Amino acid sequence: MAEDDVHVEQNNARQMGNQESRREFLKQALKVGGVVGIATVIGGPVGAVKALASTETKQNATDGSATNWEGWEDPQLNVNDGWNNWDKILNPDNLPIYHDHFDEIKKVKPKHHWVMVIDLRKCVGCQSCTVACKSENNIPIGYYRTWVDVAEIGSTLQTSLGNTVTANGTYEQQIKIRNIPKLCNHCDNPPCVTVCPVKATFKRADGPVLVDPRLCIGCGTCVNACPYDARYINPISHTADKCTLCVERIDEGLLPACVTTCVGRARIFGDLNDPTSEVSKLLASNPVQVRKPEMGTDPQVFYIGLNGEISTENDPEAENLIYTYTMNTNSTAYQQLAGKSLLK
Amino acid sequence: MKNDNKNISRRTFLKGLVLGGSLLGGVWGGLPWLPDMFKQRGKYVYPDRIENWPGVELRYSVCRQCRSDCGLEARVFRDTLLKLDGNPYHPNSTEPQLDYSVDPKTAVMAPIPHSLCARGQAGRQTIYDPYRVLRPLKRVGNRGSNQFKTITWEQLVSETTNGGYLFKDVPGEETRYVEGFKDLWLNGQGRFIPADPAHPDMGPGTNQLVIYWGRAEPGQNNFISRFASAFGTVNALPHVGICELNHHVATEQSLNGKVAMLKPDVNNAEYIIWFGAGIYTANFPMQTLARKVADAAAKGLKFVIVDVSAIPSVAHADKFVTVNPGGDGALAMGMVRWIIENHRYDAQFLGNTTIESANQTNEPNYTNASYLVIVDEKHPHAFKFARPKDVGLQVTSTDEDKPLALDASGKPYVFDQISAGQLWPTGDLNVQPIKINGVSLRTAMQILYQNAVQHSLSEYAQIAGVQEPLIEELANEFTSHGKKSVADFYRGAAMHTNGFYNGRSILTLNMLIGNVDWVGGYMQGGAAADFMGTGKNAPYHLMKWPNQPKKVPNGVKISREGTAYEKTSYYKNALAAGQSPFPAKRPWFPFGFGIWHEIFAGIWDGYPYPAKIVYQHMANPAFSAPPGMSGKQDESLPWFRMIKDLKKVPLFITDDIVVSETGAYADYIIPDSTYLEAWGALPGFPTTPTSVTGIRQPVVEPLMARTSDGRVMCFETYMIDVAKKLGMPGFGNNAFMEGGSLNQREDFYLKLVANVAYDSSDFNRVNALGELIKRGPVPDGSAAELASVQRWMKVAPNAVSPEQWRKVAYVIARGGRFEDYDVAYHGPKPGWLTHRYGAKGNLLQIYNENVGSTHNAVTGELFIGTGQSVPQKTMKGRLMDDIDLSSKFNYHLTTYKLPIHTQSRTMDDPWLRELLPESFIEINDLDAQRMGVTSGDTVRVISANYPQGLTGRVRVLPGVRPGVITFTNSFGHWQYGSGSWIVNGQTVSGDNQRNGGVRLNPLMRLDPDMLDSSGWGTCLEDPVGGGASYFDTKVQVVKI
Repeated sequence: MAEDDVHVEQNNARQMGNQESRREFLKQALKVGGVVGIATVIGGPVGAVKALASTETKQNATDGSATNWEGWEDPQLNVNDGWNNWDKILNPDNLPIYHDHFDEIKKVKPKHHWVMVIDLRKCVGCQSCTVACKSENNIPIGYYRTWVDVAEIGSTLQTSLGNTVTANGTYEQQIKIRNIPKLCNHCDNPPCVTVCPVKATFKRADGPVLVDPRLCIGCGTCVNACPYDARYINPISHTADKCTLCVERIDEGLLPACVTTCVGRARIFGDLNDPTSEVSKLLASNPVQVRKPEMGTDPQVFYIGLNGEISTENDPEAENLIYTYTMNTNSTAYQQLAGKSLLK
Repeated sequence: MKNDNKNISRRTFLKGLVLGGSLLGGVWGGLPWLPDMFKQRGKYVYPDRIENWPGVELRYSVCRQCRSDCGLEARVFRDTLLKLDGNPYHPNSTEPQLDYSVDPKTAVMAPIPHSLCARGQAGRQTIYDPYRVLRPLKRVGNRGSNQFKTITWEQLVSETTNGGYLFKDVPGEETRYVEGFKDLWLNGQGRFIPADPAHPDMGPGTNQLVIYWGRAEPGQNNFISRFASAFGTVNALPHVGICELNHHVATEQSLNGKVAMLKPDVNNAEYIIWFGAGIYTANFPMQTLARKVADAAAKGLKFVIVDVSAIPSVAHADKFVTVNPGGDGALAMGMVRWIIENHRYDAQFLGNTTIESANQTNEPNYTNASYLVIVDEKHPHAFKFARPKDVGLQVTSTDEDKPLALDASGKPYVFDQISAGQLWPTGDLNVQPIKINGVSLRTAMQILYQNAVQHSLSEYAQIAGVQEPLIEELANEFTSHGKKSVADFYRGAAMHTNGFYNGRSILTLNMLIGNVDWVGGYMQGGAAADFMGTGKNAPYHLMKWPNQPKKVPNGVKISREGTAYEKTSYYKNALAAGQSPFPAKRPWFPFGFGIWHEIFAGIWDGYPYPAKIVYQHMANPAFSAPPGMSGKQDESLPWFRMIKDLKKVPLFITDDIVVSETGAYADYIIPDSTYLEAWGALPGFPTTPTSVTGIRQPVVEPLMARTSDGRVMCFETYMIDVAKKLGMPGFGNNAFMEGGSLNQREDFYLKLVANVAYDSSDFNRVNALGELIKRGPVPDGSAAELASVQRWMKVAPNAVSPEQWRKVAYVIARGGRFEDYDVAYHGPKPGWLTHRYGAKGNLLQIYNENVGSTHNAVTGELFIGTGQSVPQKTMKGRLMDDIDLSSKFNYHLTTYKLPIHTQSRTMDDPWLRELLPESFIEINDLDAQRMGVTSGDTVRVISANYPQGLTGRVRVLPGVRPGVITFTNSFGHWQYGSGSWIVNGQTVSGDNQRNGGVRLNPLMRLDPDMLDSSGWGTCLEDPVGGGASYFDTKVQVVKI
């Protein structure tokens, strides 16, 4: 293959956003040189030989948006050992599920009432939770189930009383740093659930709001209904996708991935039915707030450390986002700041 | 409801939707996901192979996405890495960590946070980077042409060992004979033949093998050093000079050369001032510090962030102070002055002359504040501590070398004959010297104060760029918490031309209140296991091997670090010839180590000898450092000029995981391990008050190709094979003092783990009575724990003995060796930490006589023995402000770290890239207003040594100090899986998403005094510490 041809093929591949072409190219490169492992993001994280084998044995469903799919589907991993058993994942021990009439949940006296407390006095804005969630839950590039808004709020004032003394003047840098983790609030009155036309999404009696992707038609109504931007259409499956509280982990007694790795220990997960749990104690001893209480959604993610100066809501007029990922990645502001190259 | 029914209902709905599409389109047309609906559906693969899934195995190792070495827990299924988390036994990741005796089976499901940061979480994408180099590559075009071919392992080893006309097919190199290792080794004689017969003290020809590394850590760097020492070169050099070197040198030169880092006992401190320390974003260990600070602040710790731009920890800080870049020392010395003049220092503590007198007054350590220094400039021992003979006193021979101090009556004694020495022998705050037999002497305290009063508080405030009352406020608060205040610093204060003195000044604050070794004070942290086995009871002494000649290696490092110019033949010959030894051709650095820019300068100048083979392990100087010498694909920059010069660098070999910006210039690239495929023994950091040694092990089968005899291709295998071909000692058969061979890396690293397992001096436990007792070797591993080393027993069954395997298993099953959490606060006296600097009798140095009597080898000026506020200067002592005038260069260029990236190594991870695809030139809001720019506008930034400038987009942030612009320095890879390169005639096109954002490194100031006639030169650097200056460049910013 002439050098120019290679470039052309590469450019085409990029224009098409088609990872398969790159894989084909890399496969060629491997044949002639064997220098690069083609453990591509589609093929799953395996070595050169395995990845090569995988490209030959199956074609991933790709449609352009799959370019950035960080996935597990791979012959090496995809063995028939009960993986993807949706009945187990979504509804262990046949917990009741609710599509409406959520006030009836209390009547069945569920054993647990899972909640998350976010202690903003401890959030260090490091985004470890953000990445851990993506790794644990297979979230495509450009989409998030949880994220941390890190913003600098304030401005510089020219004042002789300020502590910033320069040759050009004396200033007061009146700033605050605001780190706000965000995720699905697993509301006790979830508007996303009631709007679902096919009852694919539901609230489990012990708290998590979940989606059954076998039922979801990808209409996006729930995405639109969520006041917290916590749902998205998964670009691979074209079904609604969201935080599950790592339901398969908590059902086994583990912590959700984001809590397991929270560097500042700002995320605390637990059972509100257990008065001795850390979340119960925190809620009993601290003023807490929820996001957008006026919506009547009854969020089950509680924030400690909010005050009049710091809100969970973005205010582009007042804040300077330190990291662009703090914005909705589909927003115009994000595209302008980051350029479109990454996302599409 | 059965699945079939569910599918039907979805299909039915879809059908209805398509039919009603035109109608619904009006309602939903604005929804971005609507078009996606009609595309082919992929399978939604749900990941629920959690920790207890059948077939899932948890393997513990140690992260290296940054240098913090946090313990990690790898979830592995069918030899594929699924997920990374923190190791629950490791105190970096978990607090309190699991007791060491906890059964690993229990640890699997421990419902406690055990964290890694975002970088660590993304590590899976580093090992599975699609652009990994997995086979040896050889250059086929000109150096830098980025053209390679794959070669066999045998060809790699044979060509680089034997040398020859290795590049005869490359135009221009047809007749170039390249010397291989064999040509330096000379059948073993090369170790004894001087490289420069005129200066035999510079060492033998084998020193012309120059090895340096970027990312090697303990274990790996010990392996490299073993190869270097056996070969006979002193040049096995780390990267510290471009990292935080001046911090380490300032700390070591305050702590008797023993300890390079202290950290606050964050959990118990009441007040901490951090100067340029990257809390919540970087520093050591980033996540441990962040966790402790956030928790302590929630419970009442007050802390102050001093920096040039706001960092995330400002969220929880009580005070955020911006200073002029490099003004940290002025702020600190202003505080020193205030503290001394207001008698807020701990006079009793400072008066103690010995560890015994300190302990008698309940102090865990002591200082030299009362020791007398010779201040007669013409005295032969000027600026050293006065010994009895220096002032004509007769003492017994055992006391001859002891410094003098004055007792309460003013009579001189060698320091350990009195318990307290006078700080102010000529009156309170009086700096008049005393005279003994005509020799003028001052106490260390007097010299400190003399230096502190060189500026008034208002001048200090002006230099630092703050209000004068702030200095008083900080000093007052700092001295209002007993031993529970700490002033700590890192790169931001240290990596200036005045960084060493900034650091000394900040460290002095701590000495004035005597907070070292106190609960809530300044802490040296727990110990590390003796993994190299230099102690008595270790099973393997890995620093020695059979048939190694004495005094090999010897001589001077090519960077002239670790050697005082005054001790060289260059200096002595000049004096003997009646000439001035100054200026030396290039500076010498007796206190610094790992000074990259001086390695490169040594290679460029052939001083003190030319290099013949340059071996780089896992480093990327073309991209990341030294400042101003590289950082952009511009071959006019000094680093590129050096590496392209075939005479100065006849052979350039690198190992790496990808073709990096630097690898693009390599003659040979050896495929190497990512940290998830590598070994190591990683000590903890002072942040942790208990002893730590994490063990890094490959968590999955390495992806690299195998040699014909089945070994993993990596740098260790390469060095073993070269050594065996040459017949070097310490490799191959009979490689260890205890017997045994070294044919694969596990033969070495498993012995190192055995040393950790058998360590019996550095790890304690608290018994049932609450007493501290030493733990001996670890217990034998259970059958289940032995399973964790099965794969290593297969690879290297004889690396350790059968009984040692059981203990090695106990360690590997837990990811290392760790003291329990409750050991931290069991000092012998109330308020003392368990692990103390003073426990070995070491002193704190208010005055350092070695520094105070050492010359800048270029100017001949003496350095200063105490803390001091000095402005930024060139190597020859010219003020930078006089060279780059503020009228033209009106902004100060600085950098900062994000919590999601580490220098050059993390941009290959899409999960980190997507968080911030592009970086910016960040500028204060009022400055932006003045310039008429807003976020997103493009500006050009120009410096004196890069007048063409570089452009980038602006982001306006009020946390940036007015007059400063800053950027984060991980962005802008033009290689490293970005750009393109050619292998076997095929162009490999990388992922240009790795090349987002701005990279202003080429703007950083070269030292105008150190340019040669061709314009080649090094970055500005600290003449004492040797660390590179990143933050002393003044620039012009132009809107375009």
